[in-house]
Amino acid sequence: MGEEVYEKKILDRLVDLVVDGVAGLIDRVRPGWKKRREARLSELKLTLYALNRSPTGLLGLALVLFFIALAIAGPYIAPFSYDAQLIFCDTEARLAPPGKVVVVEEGSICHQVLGVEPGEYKLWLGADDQGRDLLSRLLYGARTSLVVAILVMAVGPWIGIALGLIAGYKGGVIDEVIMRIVDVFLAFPGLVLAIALSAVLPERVQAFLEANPAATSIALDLFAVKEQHVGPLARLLTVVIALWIVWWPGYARLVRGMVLSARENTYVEAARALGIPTGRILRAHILPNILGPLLVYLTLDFGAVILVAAGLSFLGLGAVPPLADWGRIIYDGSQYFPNALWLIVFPGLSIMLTVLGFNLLGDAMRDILDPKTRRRIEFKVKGR
Amino acid sequence: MVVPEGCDPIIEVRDLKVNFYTYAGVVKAIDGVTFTICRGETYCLVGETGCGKSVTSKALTRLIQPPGRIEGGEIYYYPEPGKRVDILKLSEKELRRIRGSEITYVYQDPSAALDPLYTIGYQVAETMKAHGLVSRIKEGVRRAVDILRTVAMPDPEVRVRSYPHELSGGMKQRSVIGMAIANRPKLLIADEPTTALDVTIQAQIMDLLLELKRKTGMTLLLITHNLGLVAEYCDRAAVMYAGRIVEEAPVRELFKNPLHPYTQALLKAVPNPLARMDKLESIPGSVPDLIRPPRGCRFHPRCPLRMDVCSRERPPEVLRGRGHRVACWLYTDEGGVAGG
Repeated sequence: MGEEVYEKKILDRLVDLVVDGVAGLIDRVRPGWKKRREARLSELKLTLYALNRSPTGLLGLALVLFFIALAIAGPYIAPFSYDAQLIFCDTEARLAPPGKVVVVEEGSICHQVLGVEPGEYKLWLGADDQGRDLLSRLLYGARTSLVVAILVMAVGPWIGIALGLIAGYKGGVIDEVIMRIVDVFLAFPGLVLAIALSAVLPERVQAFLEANPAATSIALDLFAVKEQHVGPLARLLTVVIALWIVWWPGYARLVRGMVLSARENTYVEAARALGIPTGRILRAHILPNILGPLLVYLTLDFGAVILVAAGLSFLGLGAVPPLADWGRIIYDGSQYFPNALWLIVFPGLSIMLTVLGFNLLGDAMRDILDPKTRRRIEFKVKGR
Repeated sequence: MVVPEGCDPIIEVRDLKVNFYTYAGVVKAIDGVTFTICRGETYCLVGETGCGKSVTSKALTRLIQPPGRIEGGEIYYYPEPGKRVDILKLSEKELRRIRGSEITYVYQDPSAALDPLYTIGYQVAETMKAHGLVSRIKEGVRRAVDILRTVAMPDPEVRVRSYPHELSGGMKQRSVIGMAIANRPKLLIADEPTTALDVTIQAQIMDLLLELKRKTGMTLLLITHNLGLVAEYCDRAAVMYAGRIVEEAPVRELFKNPLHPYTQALLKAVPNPLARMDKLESIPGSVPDLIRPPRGCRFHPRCPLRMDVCSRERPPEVLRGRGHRVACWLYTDEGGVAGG
């Protein structure tokens, strides 16, 4: 060894600074914390060093962070609301190309009804046929995509993971039954099933939302949607539910395979011999030991969910105007193709860059989460 | 049944049969094993690799997993004298209560028996929590310090926060023993507890087990292929061959007067440090294929003293002297010549 000493890069020093700083702060509140977590903190640093050495991983992370930041801040920084139809102020706003300036006059409908302050506005990315500012709609759309992806990923995969854990661990008849159900789901195209469900469910979801005002107000806040648009929101939520139902079989199969090898570990048998309950063995001894590959898959899948949700909207299911959804914006814009090219290019780019970000990050995580990578870097950092 | 006088049984196994259903065929891993372990003794199961020692020990709390299955026999556990529990009739939940608190295991390879993701203290605490000894893991970790001290772990206050990879093999095995004794078990099953350790540590670990046994009055079932350990630490021993017990006797008797040709061969294969030996004896042939085991006595193809009857019928168990039983035709009336 020793032929190659790892030079700490600026990013690595930044990592040191941030990690040590945060740890120092926590340590001040809870004395002794830093010492107890020493090993974990140094592992965390090595993990981040590993990320720093992967340009594609960094690019992916940057794209993902950028997307998340926009999704959170979007509705607050957007120049207009997602449903502000500027044609009521200035007929020129209809299909306005990028960079066009529209004028909002004092006392116009725009001013009085839509609440847009008078003045001149430059539409950086143009507007659609209703004169809705594309930039604003893309920002709101980022929120829609992120929330849909989080809602789907918070439930769908975990159904699969739970079933996969049980199938793999229990084996026998239970395994057979679960995996045959999985086979049926996988044999049936997921997108078609989702389409069928999106066609059937909206009324029920809307009825549910009307019956539960508390849930409704949470959903409205999450998606940054106005109260009068509960109907369209119900259709968007339908997509979420449809994706829950089609998103688990892949995970069940993946996890079952990993459990089959993980359960052969002696410590799993030892846990059984010590009388640890099955649920706890699965949760505490098997799941964490297969989490690495699972995390990679979950990250990659985040992008896939965004893509599929956009695809469903593009097919006219899920979000409907005036809600802002990238897929739907492309669908609506396609009627004016190729004259209003911006209506397709910008939302298309948004989807592409976001999904690309998750994919690059997921691929990089494969290497980063491998303990061997960390050890190699550790040796080099210590200059051995 | 051959049980020493005054024996208060803690485990009673009768005619146990365990099969493994593999693609190649049905492996009759355990074929009619009968023995009794007395409360407070150290009982040994001896035999070469693959003879069914570990499977027998796992069957005691029904830890056999598919494709393996217990196909017959009876297993009784006596938590206290006179109180009989039929292990094969218990529900999974009742079994779980016994595993890890009344009957516990120490495994051969301590590196594999510890979950790499958790500290030693956490893992000890987890077994205590699973059996309601503590209500929270945090409390259990505090108590784990005492338990690690009991198993003579150096620096228990520090080690309780160590991860398995930070410990030596001996310290890992001490942790595993700590997990096993945390709930004050009545029966500790040690499955080749020293095989994965180096020789100096072996003696330390065995002494620790005996010391714990003496302090807590628990019963020890020691599974090993090491005849040295048997001679030094056991009260009674059963020799297993190809899924059956071929001979059982108090340890002194077994070493002084081995009856079964397999036991005799096994003892000859152990080097004697006091006598000059030019060549170490070995047993000709190899372990039988348990999918198609030899008919009659399973040892007969390798047995130097085999008779016609050996390949036809399973030998009956014969009682020879106090607590000494042997399954061999030599000692029956039919084959009495050689045994005479």
